[in-house]
Amino acid sequence: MKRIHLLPALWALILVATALNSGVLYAQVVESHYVRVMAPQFLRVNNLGSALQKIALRQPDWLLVYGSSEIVDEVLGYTAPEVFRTFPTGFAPYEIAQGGENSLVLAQEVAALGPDLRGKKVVISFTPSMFFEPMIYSGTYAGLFVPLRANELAFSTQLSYATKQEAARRMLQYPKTLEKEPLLRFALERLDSDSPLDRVLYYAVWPVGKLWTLVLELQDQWQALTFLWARPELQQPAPHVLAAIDWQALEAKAEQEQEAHANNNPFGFDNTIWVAHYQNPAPDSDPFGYDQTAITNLQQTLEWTDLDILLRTLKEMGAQPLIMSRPFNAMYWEARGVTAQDRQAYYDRLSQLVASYGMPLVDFRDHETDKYFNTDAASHTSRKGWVYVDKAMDQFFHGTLR
Amino acid sequence: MIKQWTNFFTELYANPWVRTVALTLYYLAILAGLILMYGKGDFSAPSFIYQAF
Repeated sequence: MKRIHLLPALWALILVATALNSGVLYAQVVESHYVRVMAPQFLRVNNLGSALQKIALRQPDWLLVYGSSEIVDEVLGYTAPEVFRTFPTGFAPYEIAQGGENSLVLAQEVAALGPDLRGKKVVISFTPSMFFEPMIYSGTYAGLFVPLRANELAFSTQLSYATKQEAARRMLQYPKTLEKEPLLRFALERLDSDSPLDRVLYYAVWPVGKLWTLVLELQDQWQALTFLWARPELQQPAPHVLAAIDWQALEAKAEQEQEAHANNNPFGFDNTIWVAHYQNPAPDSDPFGYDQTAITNLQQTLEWTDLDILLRTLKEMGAQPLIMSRPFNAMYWEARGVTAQDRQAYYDRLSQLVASYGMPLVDFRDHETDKYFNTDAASHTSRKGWVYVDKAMDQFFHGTLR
Repeated sequence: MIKQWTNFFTELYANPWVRTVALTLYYLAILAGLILMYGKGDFSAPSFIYQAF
């Protein structure tokens, strides 16, 4: 009787597997077409899955840029997607960012790219304010948590057991995100433990985890496909116009504009931001008002552990990343009693950590006293600051970054 | 009448080809059901607390 069922079940499996595989191939063809022709822009779907990022990685003229609010903040005329809109030097940034993105979330995001990441250049962007709290808020982490990416990391074949273990220990500190993910939680708990039995159990559950990750990948493909179907305007081919960028002229213009937009306060913050967040500060409720506590947190925060996990992940995945931080606004921090020595501790620690992985770092520390580099105390990038960021991306892409 | 139909299907099902096709369709229906149930996924993010960076 059992044998009677075996052959039909096998046929059904083969038919479904063939259909799904054809569907994925079709989705990839559609996605490739969109990604190849579209202009640089934010696609919300990138924050929920990885399908389009994998496609963008395979295109020679996209540079993947991961970051947080310093990337997604208001359009200023000088952001990378604007400056590189027509691929003037042969590439454009493919930005994947949302406010509050942090190293632990980014580690899962890059782990989800899988073998496609090997040998590819990516930019990891953040500001010192990522380190201003003892650890990432559970609400922020939960809002950025994507089960697909977490599963990709937990069941990755590219990452070492030790790296997955470090990541698991941090991911388990946000138990709410795992309430609906029993398999993932089980795997992370096994990784968390040092006992040989738990190691055996992790490997025992690994095939099931891989299978479930495959299901999530299929869901991701479906999500990307339906998103693109609803956006036919993305198929309008973006013009590619090769042209040299006059960085000096662009910087002068940006500085002039920034100066005109930042003349109601002594720190060079954007006028609107100054009025909204600093002019009449409400220290208990305003997230942009920082003091010495932020610097104390900066020395002890678990974000350093998370950044280490992110760098390890990038290294083991074979990526070629550029780590890009931003400078403090020295005038603001001095007024708050934070010394140059305090700030230097951030740059030193960051440099040491990144150097230990042999990765290039740009932190723009020389611009600390540049009044018009940031728009606020959280080191969000101004018009002028963006010109430097754009230039660094351009040099990194073309291998001329020193 | 019912007995006639029952006999007809019993004889039909006795044919190995018919049985294989019927069972294949049965398993296909199960797999299609699973895909419909789990294929779309849940991409809704929980409420987000902005941490000012």
